[in-house]
Amino acid sequence: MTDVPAPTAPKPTAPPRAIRWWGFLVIFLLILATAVLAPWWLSSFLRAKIDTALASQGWELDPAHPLSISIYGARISGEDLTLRMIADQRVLMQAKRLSADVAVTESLQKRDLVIAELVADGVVGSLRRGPDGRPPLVAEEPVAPGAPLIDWKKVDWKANFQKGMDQYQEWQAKREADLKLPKDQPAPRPAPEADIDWPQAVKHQPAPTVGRHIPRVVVRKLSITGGKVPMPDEGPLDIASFSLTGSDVALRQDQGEVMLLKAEITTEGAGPITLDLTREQSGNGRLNFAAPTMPLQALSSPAIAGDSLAPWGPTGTAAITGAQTWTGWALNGTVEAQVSGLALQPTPGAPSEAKTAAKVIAALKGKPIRWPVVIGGTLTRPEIVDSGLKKVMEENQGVLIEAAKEEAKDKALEKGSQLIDKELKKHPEAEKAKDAAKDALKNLLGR
Amino acid sequence: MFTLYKLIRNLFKALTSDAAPWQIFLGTFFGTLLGFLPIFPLSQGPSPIALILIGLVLVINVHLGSVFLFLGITKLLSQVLHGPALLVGEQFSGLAQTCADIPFLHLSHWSHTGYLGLTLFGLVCAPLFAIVMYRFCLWFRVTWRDKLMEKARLLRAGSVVDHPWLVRLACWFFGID
Repeated sequence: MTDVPAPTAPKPTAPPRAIRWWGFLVIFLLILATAVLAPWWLSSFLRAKIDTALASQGWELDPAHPLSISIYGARISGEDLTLRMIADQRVLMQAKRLSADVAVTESLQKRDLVIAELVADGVVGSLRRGPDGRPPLVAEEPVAPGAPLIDWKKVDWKANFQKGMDQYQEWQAKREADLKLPKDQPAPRPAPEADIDWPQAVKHQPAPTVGRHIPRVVVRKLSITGGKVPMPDEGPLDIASFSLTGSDVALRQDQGEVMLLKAEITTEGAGPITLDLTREQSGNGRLNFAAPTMPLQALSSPAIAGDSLAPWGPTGTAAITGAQTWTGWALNGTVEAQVSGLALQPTPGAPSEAKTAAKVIAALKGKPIRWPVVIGGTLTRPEIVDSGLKKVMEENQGVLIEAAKEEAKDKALEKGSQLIDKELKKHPEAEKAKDAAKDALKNLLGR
Repeated sequence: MFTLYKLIRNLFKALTSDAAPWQIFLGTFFGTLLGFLPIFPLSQGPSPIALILIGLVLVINVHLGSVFLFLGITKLLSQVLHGPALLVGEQFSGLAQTCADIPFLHLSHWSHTGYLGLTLFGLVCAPLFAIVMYRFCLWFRVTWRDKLMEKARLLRAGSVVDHPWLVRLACWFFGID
């Protein structure tokens, strides 16, 4: 029996250390790798989110020119961007250049998405109706089963504006109510969200707290310039070029914030238009607008005024200025038009009063008319408080009375002549005497 | 399967090696927890609590073989236990709602009824498995390791031992030379 060495038993060693120092190095390397890979992952994630949001509206960005997202640079930018409809590939909007710089520190401090500067150049697009008559940026309204489909070719813009404003008012009232919940009333908890990876499970959402913060999007400095943007209906208000500038632009404003928005638009056939909006957080606001060379043909275009004005054939130029202020929802304002060179050229199918009015207006001989209109009501339902016609009459009293007299005289002469002809037909001798007098007059004029 | 086999072998080697029982205890504990907890569900994002556990596993000198073995086993187990986990999670929907109001736990997916169920399984199983492994390690080292070493020595010396092939197999598996 040979001497066999004992199996190697574990040598007694010092007790293991509690800390593994290289673990820190591994964690450091993992953090480093995350820092390198996170921007790539995050930008892909954000791009996918943007694509999903656009797709939910039926739109897509041309994949040949995607948005570039710089996480560490806190910047979203792109060149030659094209936004189009997925269904028929119709181009909605194009931009030569777009950049948005996110104010990271302010965003983190305020828990909002604060964009320090949003610049877009060379923006062109089209708001023309699609084959179904629906303008491209208008979402399809959900229709109840059995309800008639919306005829987008007969859209009532006024009613749509009021509907949109009503919805906005409801939304704002609900938001205000949510933010100011009484302390003893628990806020309703949002419904749990389903998980696409585990469809049977749900993820509960945090209960809203009283006076909670709802993240918002604010643009500190906005600058958008662009070219042609055709309106839903072809007409003189089609945009030829525009610029939109603003500061502190937000749907929901913070304490003390004042939003300024200024639009300068050059239209295809209605001259330049400027809009200047100021809105305070308190709910007070002001809108000034000016259209210094608005052709009346443009205003009476069927695309703007329907069929009501076009048969009257108004011509001339109106210098329109408007100033409106509102406190809360109450609207207060005036629209003043300085109309020069006004004339009416009624079409053959125009109503008889159009012809009468044309004669009266002709007596003004293109003299400028000041026409102040007072507007009131609410932001959602603006109303004309004073049509300003009385003032127009007062200021042009003399001319209009003379014109009316002339018109009345002409009418009286026409009527009188008809009556004389009627009487003459009853007496042949008198008819003969009239013809003789006519011949004598002709001879006299012939000499 | 080969990886699992390697992991199991490494673990048993650890039982005969100089790894302290507390290292195996903690390795099993963290491995089991990580196996049941969601680490990075693609639709939900990374779980901070799981990332912290991974950090602890790296920094604390736990037995990594135990971590990987139990992580693997319990990950497979959690796939099988999706149904029961959901039932448990739904029973604890009140707890899920409370977790939803705590941002750290909400981000860690404890407000998700399915993942909460798995987490609860993990919280129950982790200490159990860890204690079992701790006790097994001590018992193996006291009862079996020395006996096995002695039998291996006798085999090498040419002595007759009962079931020599079993002894060889055990020595090979436990890494006893």
